[in-house]
Amino acid sequence: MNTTYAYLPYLVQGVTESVALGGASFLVATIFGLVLALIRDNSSRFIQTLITVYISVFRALPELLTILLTYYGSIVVTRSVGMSDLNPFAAALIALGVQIGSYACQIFSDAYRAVPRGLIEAGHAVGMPSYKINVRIAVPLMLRLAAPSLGSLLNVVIKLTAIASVIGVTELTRRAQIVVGATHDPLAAFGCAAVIYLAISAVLTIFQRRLETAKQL
Amino acid sequence: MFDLLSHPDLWLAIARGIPVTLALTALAMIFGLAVGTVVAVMVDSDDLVLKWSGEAFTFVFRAVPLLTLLYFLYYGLPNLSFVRHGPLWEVFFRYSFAIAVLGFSLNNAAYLAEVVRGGIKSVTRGQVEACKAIGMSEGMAIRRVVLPIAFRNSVMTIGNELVFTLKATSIASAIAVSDVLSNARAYGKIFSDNLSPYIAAAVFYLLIVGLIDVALSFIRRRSQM
Repeated sequence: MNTTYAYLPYLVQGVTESVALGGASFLVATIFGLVLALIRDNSSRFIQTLITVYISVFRALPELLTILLTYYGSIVVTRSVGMSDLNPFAAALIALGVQIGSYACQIFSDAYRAVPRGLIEAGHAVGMPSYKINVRIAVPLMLRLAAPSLGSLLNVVIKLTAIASVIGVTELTRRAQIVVGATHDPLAAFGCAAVIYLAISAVLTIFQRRLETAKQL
Repeated sequence: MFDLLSHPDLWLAIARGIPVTLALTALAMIFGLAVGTVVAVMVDSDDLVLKWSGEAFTFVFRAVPLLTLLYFLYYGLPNLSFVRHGPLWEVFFRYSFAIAVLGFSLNNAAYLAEVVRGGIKSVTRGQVEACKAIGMSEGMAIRRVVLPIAFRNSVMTIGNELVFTLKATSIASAIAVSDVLSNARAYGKIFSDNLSPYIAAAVFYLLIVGLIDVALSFIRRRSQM
């Protein structure tokens, strides 16, 4: 009789993959969203419209659907050019990066609008070029204003990594499924997975609280 | 390669999932709001036991991914004999749709509790004191004044949550609920085309969310008048 506890180390190893996928997608998304938010407010009508369309499309598409489309779409592309298939982790990273990027872009756009205009005008007044205004004034203030929303976004992203299990990324939830195949005890396996997610979320919450109190000092 | 997209049958098959997706979304929003409101009031109460159980509820259901929660409820719970042989098995726990409603409602309640709490905080002290001044009990003040104002102030946030719930319902396809996404997947399996059905499903999601957004902007314009 196999028990789930024998497979605990195997389950816990899934944390690395969940956190790696979540962290990497979050990083890609944040950078992507920040760059797009900066472009959005200082560019032509056409590019502004493109970015708005990007945000509204990914507001409507379920993350599961994006991941499936990216994975099967990438297979079609790689087969037609004769390359080897993209591995599921990379496909999930691309899909989540692009999708979460649209959420991050919205967060940064809101933050940009909340930056006091006077500070940016002051930058212009002392003759700073606009990239310098962005780097020294706008972006640091945006990051500070966006910090709480970004924190909860990171929490959301870690949870979304569970969806990557459907294309075979062996993260926590997928591993729990595999353990069920061996032990026939879904209650214990998914229960353990849920507890591990709770632990990850608890660590993130503590980290986030500390960051927010540090900011106030 | 995309010739499947020109088959009307594909679109019809996927469209048959729309009522399921909408029903899941609506039920999850209704139960989520009801439970979420109770939890929000619990978290804000002075009784420590109520406060802590409310916070534990939001923490747990915000931390566990929906997919894991659905697997746990759908595959895990029948292992408990009082669920498997209890009176609710035949009427509730057997059905993947019922399990999906349960899972989404719990998850939604945790998120909506935060939204409603934000709304409650937006009610000014003066309004609460006015209730006390004319002799309302605390429960009456919450029911008649605090909650209605809180809901009105958080209409847009609840609307956003509605869109997120609609998207999340696609996860129910993992436990054999035949919603838009799982109909697409089933159709793709028959014709061994894994891409076109998903593109068609994407079109439907874009349409539904587009309609919701139009309705939301209408509500916002009316509430500003």
